[in-house]
Amino acid sequence: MSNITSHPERPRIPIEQSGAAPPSGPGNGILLLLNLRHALIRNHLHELFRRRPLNVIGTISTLLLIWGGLYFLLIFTFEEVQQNVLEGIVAIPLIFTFFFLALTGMLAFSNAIISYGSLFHRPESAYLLASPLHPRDMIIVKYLETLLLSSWSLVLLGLPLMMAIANKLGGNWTFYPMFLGLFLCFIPIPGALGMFLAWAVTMVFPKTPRRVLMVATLALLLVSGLWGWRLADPSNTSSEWLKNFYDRASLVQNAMLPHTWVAKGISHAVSGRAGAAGFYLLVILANALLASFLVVSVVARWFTSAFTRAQCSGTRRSGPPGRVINWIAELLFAYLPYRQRMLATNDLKTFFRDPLQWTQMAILFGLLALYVSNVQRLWTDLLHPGLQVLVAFLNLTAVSLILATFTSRFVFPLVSLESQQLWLLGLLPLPRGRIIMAKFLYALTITLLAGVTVISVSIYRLQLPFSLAAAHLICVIAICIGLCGVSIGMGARMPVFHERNPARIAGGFSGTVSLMCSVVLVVISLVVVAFMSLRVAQIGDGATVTQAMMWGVAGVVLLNVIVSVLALTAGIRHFRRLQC
Amino acid sequence: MTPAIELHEVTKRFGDFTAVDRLRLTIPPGELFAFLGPNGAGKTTTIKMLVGLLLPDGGSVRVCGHAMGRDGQLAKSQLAYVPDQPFLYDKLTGHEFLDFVGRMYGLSRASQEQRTKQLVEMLEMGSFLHQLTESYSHGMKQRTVLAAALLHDPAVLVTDEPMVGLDPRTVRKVKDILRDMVHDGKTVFMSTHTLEVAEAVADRIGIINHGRLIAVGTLEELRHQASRSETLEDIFLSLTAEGQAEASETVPQ
Repeated sequence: MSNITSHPERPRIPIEQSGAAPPSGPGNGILLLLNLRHALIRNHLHELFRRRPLNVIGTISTLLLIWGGLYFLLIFTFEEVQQNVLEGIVAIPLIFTFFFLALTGMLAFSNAIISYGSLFHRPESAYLLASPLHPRDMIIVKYLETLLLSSWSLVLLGLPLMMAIANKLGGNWTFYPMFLGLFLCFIPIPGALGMFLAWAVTMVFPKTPRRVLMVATLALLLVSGLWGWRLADPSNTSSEWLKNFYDRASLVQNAMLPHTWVAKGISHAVSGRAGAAGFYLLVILANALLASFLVVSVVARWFTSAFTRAQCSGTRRSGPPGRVINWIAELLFAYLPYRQRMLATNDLKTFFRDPLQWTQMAILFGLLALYVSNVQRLWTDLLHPGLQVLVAFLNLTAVSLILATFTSRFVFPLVSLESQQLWLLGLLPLPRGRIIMAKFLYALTITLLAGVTVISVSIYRLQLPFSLAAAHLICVIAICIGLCGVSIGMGARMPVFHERNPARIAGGFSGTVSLMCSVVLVVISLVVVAFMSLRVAQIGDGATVTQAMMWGVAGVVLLNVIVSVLALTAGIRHFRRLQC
Repeated sequence: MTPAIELHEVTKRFGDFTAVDRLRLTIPPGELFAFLGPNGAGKTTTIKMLVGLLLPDGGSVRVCGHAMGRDGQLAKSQLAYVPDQPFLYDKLTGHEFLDFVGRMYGLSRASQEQRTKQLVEMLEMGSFLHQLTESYSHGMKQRTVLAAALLHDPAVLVTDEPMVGLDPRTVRKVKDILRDMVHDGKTVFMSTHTLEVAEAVADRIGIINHGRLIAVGTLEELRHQASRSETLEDIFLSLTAEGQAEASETVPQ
């Protein structure tokens, strides 16, 4: 029995009522949670502007850059299409259809991933589930939040599309409200599908929901790629090809599909037919409301069951077995000394056991490989040396930018993530500089594998002459060295030890600085490659090793190696001084 | 009298593994019940079913007479739960968090302010209440979560390792608060590994091992059951060692 008794002088908590009445009126819980979100966003923005103004400026500048680039790209596309009037009449609605079809897939996928994390793995869900709030109120707010999180960037992408359409295709004032309405009402349809998928996958595959979602997406992308490959088949004559193309494209223009409604609505709005556009707007709005109602009702009704299943899922090991990874690591890092090879093997295990890392890399580089292997089907006049050089340059640009994103997102946090093991690393009979170098060489091996493979396929499919091929290969290797050096070096110089979430480490101030440095490095390297390519295209002969080519390649190599060495040196110095 | 907590034949399985096996437990109002067990014995799973975070595969859970499944909202309005890992919104201040919790439980503005003031004084939270919770130490977080749990004056407080990470002064305060609650007719269900705390504050003690409640009663009753007149630590080790031996006999090697 207790030997603690109440102290006579200690104030007692007065009892006013036993328990309390939770917010029971319809919508009270939703209002409460929306007010909570408002307070969280307000405090977050206040902190952001106070502590990290550079981060805010960097994000806004990058957004404006993307926004402007997309606007001009769309203007250019519409101009090109409009040059052939007859084809333009048919092609522009088709562009809308494909754009919104792609948007449906991307939104459904990102909603599924965000919904899964938000509903089943955020501590907030457990907290609210143990509270007297009705699960329906929580699901509604989380649904709205997921829509906002998954689609804000796409909404921003929608604005340049709207401006470009208005600029090039005309349309009266009714176009703007119609476009915005169609775009915004469309978003909940794939959003509802995404949340339903997250819930359904958790109910059916509670042990491996993320992997199922990722593999399903990969399969969907492969099927889409195959379909696109057959769609672009140039083997027939022009008229046969056109007939074949429209036959196959009619598959995605089915009148029962939401992306067809929004594409048709926008086509009518462009033509000034506000009544017809309004009809599609109402169709989309009605379907969006119905889809939202259904998904919220189903998920709320069986939320506790799904949550229980998700909580019981943490027992299965993710990724391939350890000995397979050990074998791959032995192969990949055979050139490293034993202890550094062990560190690289650990990082490789983390890479393979985090589906987010390997699937994102597989999807991005898979799509790129699919594109470059089909580049001859898509560009029919590749024998022209100028076009050949241009396409090769565009491929290098795409690979470099993806590598910059990948290294900033996944390589930069590598050193920060060692915060829990720092004491162990400190005890290792290995100088700290070598730990950083092991991480650099690990990242370099992975990025080289991906980058060099895609560029090699591109070179082979474009049948580039040897000298130009060698120049491109050397440049991509140099860019990999530069990017890995920047990410690891800055990750060691400005580590974020209080954070365990790699996405938050990458999204913080130092992660943003690293991303900006990587982008600047890539842009400068690509400007040099662009000048080199321009000279080669002017001469019209990629086979000759010109002075411009030599200087260009030497410049890119020097720049990237110097930047990499400087960043790594700064990082190693700082890491040596760190206390365990 | 309606029991504060009633677990009837509660079972939870994770695949082939039975985490909680036909658990029967009734706790009346005005009792501090300490729930003990080795790691992986089923303590946290039981608590999660008790507060509605996990659905049992069999049996039923009732809080103040309300079934957790059917009348979940009513049962949860009588409960407060303090998990071992305190949850707070990083971008809220402690005061904003308490305000949110008060409104979630439907407290009036006046009574919420009064309760907040008293709890802040009692748990000595005044110095950090208006800072964002992301800057709090573990102890500050524990105190804030405890204040939030007590804000609506729950009939049942369920707490998982309430003393971990707290300094001795705060540990003493928390012990006092828990005893005061019990004195006022409330029920406290406390899971802990700290046997001294259980020995000091608990009215009854339950020991779970391999998902089964192997002993329940006052300290005296447990001494009698274990045929030992020693500390709770000795009794615990004696009872769980027997369970361990039984389990190792049944588990195929």
